[in-house]
Amino acid sequence: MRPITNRAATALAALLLGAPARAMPAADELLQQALATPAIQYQGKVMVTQWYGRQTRAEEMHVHFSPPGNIRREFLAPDGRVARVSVSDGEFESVSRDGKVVVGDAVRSYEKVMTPERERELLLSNYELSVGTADKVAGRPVWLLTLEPKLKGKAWQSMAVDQETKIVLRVKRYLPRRAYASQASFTSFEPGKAQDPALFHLGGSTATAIAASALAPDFMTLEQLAKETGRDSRLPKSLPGGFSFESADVVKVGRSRAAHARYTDGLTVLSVFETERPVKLPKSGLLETGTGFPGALSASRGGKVLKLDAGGRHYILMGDLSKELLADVARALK
Amino acid sequence: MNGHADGPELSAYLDGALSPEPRARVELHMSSCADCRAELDSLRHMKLALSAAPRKAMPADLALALERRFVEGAAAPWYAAFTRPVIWAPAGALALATFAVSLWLRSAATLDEIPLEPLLAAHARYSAEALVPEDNLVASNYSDQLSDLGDAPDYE
Repeated sequence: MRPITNRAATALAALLLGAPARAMPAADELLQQALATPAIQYQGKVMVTQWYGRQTRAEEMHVHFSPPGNIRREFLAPDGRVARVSVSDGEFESVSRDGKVVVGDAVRSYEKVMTPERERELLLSNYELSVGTADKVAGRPVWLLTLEPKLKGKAWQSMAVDQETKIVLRVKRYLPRRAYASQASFTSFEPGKAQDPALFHLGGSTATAIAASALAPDFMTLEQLAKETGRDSRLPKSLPGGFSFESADVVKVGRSRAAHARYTDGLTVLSVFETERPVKLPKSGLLETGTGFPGALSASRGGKVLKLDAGGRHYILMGDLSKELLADVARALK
Repeated sequence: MNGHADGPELSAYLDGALSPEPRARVELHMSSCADCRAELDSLRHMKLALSAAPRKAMPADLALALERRFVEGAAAPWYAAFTRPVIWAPAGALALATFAVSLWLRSAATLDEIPLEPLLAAHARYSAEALVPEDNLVASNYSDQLSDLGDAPDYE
């Protein structure tokens, strides 16, 4: 009798278990597949959880997707009714809440200044990728792709990727031994489910439509930013922690304008705002103002916020970093 | 409208004096600006407090005393003027108005600072895009702007 080879044994096991066994993919390959736009329609329920200090915030939503980029999210109130709806076709996005519809430009990745190749290169130089197995998510087998930062003080990210469709079923970002984390996880997932095109209709016939195109960010270079603001920018092209300038835009706040430069290490985004006037930090959530610390550090749902005055200019640094790393970045701006 | 609503605009909004377009702009802005919502609440409370303040009718004896003075030409003592509500009512109103204006100026000074919320929204709108598949983003960026940011709790 001929010996059974490993491959044959795997196939036999799969046959007996009723599910095809899949070979574990390479981490880099899995990342590429996970980030690609899905080619199939699907729907599901997602639970979004944010751990935030001693508070936890959870929100449930229904998601409907249809290629190439149509997505509908229905955010549910605790009693299950739909509290607000967000619909996007990748180019425009509309949100309806309280009988009103806000329509504006969607964030378009292709408008970024940094190329996807450069972003990926940064990611691979700043993070270690690994693949493992994990418990099922929404009843489906997944690969667990973990992105571990090489530098202490940055958030980890793990993605549970559906083995069959390569769609990400769970994303978690967390800082080890810190109180902040966020997770979006499918609780039910129906790939291949036909989606009614009406679900992706932007706007509403009976509601009030308000154009909000100014809400979409621009993607400017530092030179374009300086031209737009009419001020010499002191913002550097790179910052400590492996962060490189990605793009910038100008945020209008009343009669004032804030230059917004976005830096990335391939995964984590660090925003640096240069403002004409000081920014008012909320009284609660203040973490650090003492001597030896370069500025006032506060907490927000979007990550930490560091307020810094340097060279007669006002800066706000914002990102999901440890306060030590954020302080290093702030010192580089001084 | 991404900008901060100024005091007169908020006041006009509260009074229902804005035409539909600026009103829609203010409403859109306030949906994402905790500062302006707080300012509007403050204005609303002030307005309610002022409107709820007791308004006493002129005492009958005052009218009678005035009439008697004209008719009889009776001389009042020198301190009598200071006991009359006709003196203290305007003074009280002036004090109340001064207090209200000082509150307003204080809030106006605060408004001179840039609020954090629009910057948070700009950061969230961009950062949520970074290397997270768009189809199962943690949350919609627009919805983030429309939802309450909540209180900042202890972080570590």
